[in-house]
Amino acid sequence: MTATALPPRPVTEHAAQLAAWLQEHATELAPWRHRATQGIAAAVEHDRGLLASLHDAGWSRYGWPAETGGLGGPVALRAVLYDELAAADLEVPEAFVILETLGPLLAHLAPHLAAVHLPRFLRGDELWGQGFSEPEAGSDLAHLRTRAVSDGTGFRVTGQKVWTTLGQFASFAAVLARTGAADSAHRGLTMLWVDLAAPGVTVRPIAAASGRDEFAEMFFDDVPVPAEGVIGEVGGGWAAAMYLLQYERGMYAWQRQAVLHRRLRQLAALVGDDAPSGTDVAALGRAQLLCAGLRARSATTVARLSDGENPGPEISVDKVLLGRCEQAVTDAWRRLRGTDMLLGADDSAITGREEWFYSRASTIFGGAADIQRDILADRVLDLPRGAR
Amino acid sequence: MSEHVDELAALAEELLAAGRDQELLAQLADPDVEDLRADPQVAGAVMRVHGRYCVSSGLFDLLVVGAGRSVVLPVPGQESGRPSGAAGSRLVGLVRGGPQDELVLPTEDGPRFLPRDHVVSEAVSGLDPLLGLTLVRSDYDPVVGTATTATGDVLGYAARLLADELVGVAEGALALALEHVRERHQFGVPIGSFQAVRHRLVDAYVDAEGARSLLAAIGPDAAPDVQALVLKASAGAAALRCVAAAQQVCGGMGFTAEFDLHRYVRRALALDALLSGSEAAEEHLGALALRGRVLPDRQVVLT
Ligand SMILES: Cc1cc2nc3c(=O)[nH]c(=O)nc-3n(C[C@H](O)[C@H](O)[C@H](O)COP(=O)(O)OP(=O)(O)OC[C@H]3O[C@@H](n4cnc5c(N)ncnc54)[C@H](O)[C@@H]3O)c2cc1C
Repeated sequence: MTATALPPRPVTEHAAQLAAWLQEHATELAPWRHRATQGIAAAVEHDRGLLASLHDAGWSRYGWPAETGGLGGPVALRAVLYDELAAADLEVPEAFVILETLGPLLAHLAPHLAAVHLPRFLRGDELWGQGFSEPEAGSDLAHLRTRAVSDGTGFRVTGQKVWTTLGQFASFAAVLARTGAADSAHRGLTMLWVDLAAPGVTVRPIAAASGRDEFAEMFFDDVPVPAEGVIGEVGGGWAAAMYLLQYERGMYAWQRQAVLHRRLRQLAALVGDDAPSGTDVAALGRAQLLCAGLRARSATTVARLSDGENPGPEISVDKVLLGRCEQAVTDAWRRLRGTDMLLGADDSAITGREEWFYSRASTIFGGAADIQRDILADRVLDLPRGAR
Repeated sequence: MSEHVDELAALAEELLAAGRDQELLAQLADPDVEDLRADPQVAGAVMRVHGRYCVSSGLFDLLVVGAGRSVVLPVPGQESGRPSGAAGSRLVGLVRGGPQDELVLPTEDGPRFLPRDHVVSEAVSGLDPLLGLTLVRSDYDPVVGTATTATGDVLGYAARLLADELVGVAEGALALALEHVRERHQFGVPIGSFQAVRHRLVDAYVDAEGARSLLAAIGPDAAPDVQALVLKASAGAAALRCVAAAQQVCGGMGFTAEFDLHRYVRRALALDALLSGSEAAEEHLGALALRGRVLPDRQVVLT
């Protein structure tokens, strides 16, 4: 199924060509129209096949710099990939969420690491984890405690991270650690690239409420990190985290809107016109309206990212819109497929329930919705700051 | 065209801020600017400013169907065109401002026309007296004709311009509320520093942003049901959310006649109700989806 990599084209043309390719290979790609429901490990394994195909055909390499194994072109070409996958009725691999969180960080601040790891990730050979949150530092991330102490050449890391998405499958993690004094808050942080196979690392999956154990906790006991493992500058961890957030919030929202629009199409087709009640139908319409607003907003954000502009605090608008959409779509599903929610045992019901739980977390991860609102109140609406 | 958009928006801003709405109307009615005012982007920008100032003027009719004509909108909750036998008895619909020489009735099979002397009109003050709504009745059958609008579709275009206006209403109400919470102190601090107040306003702002983005992303040539059920409904919902948030955070002040907020509240409710209210639109959209037409789906494209 290998296709020759083509030079980057304008966004709409690129989208049309990708759509044509996806259609042409629809039969080979059919296994990825559903996600594997026999547990998260099976799903991760299953997705590798799709990642490999997209990499080999070149499609997932567009929008990434050539120096890091990409085929170049504007960042918007990555957005096209996620959108067209969902439009072709395929499941967008969860790995792309992590890719859009950590990929831009590596490509921008640690091209030497990106050159090695990005191609592996795109091929489906390697996953990464985002090690920011700690048991005592969630919303108040700047007060994290994991320490990194210089050992002359590199650092040694000690501490605990939690809620690392797909952490149990990751080979490496971007770990935000304290290199400054204990009270240095956001000023004393450094972003480190930690080899999870290094001595002193323990990773344990966390049993999740949804039944889909999608995250893990990571323990670091004097774990060595070489000097090349510094992403950005020593003491520049907060800036690195802020850089990453524009993608974690912006490109991620675009990715999810693609998935949510597909969910709306699937739901409408599944229910059909078998006369459900007015309020349930209105819930579907509400979800359509919200998703339409998100898509419109997110398209401008992607265009800005693609132009190399950092949307700054305004990106929180996308994040708040996304949280509403996620919940509106799964609420519409819950209303229109109430029996599935309560009793269903087939793949579609299991996926629906998992997504319902996931949608509730959408207003927590990547910065809780209330934190996003504070950012917007302070920095966009310019309201007086108050006690937190 | 885009420099004209900014130019006209600035002119509208200047004149409407000074309460010179009739002057704006006269300038835009000039036949020399016909092409300009028929540009959906220009018209949209002007209607947005119009919404922000919540004024009453004949701008809507002028921008939708051109000089000398009025758009007849269905009366919410009532079926139009029921004959009852008496003279001037058949309810035709609602006109914004006084009826012009010719009334344009958008129907599913294209526009129909009635000359003004074939209708009986009755001004209604109702919820939003400044909106200047007029009920029109007639015994005559409207005639077929052609309407010149930017898109050739009166209903869709009317819905689109109402959406622009509603975004303006949302912005105007929000601006008023933001100013109020920065100035008003309680417990020794500005009330805008309380998280509950801040978050309420942010949520309203996010709604307005969603509606604004949609209007910018989906053009006037999209289907009429997209204009009405998606653009106008989302702008209507945003405006309702903004005025509700503003009413809460402005406290007692918001309930005085002197403070402008009530004008926005009235305007948001009234405009939302015209051409299918946002809540009804949700149900309509959902029902269409279940019949296989999921709107607007991927109509917004990446560029
Ligand atoms: C499914 C999932 C996946 C995740 N994946 C990752 C990952 O890969 N890597 C990673 O590093 N982290 C990850 N996280 C962690 C996530 O970033 C944190 O959960 C999040 O930052 C919130 O922190 P917390 O859970 O400690 O909640 P808390 O900080 O305790 O906040 C709980 C609630 O308190 C309220 N609150 C807190 N502070 C304020 C405030 N200032 N103003 C108003 N209200 C406030 C909010 O309502 C908030 O939702 C994931 C979380 C989930 C649920």
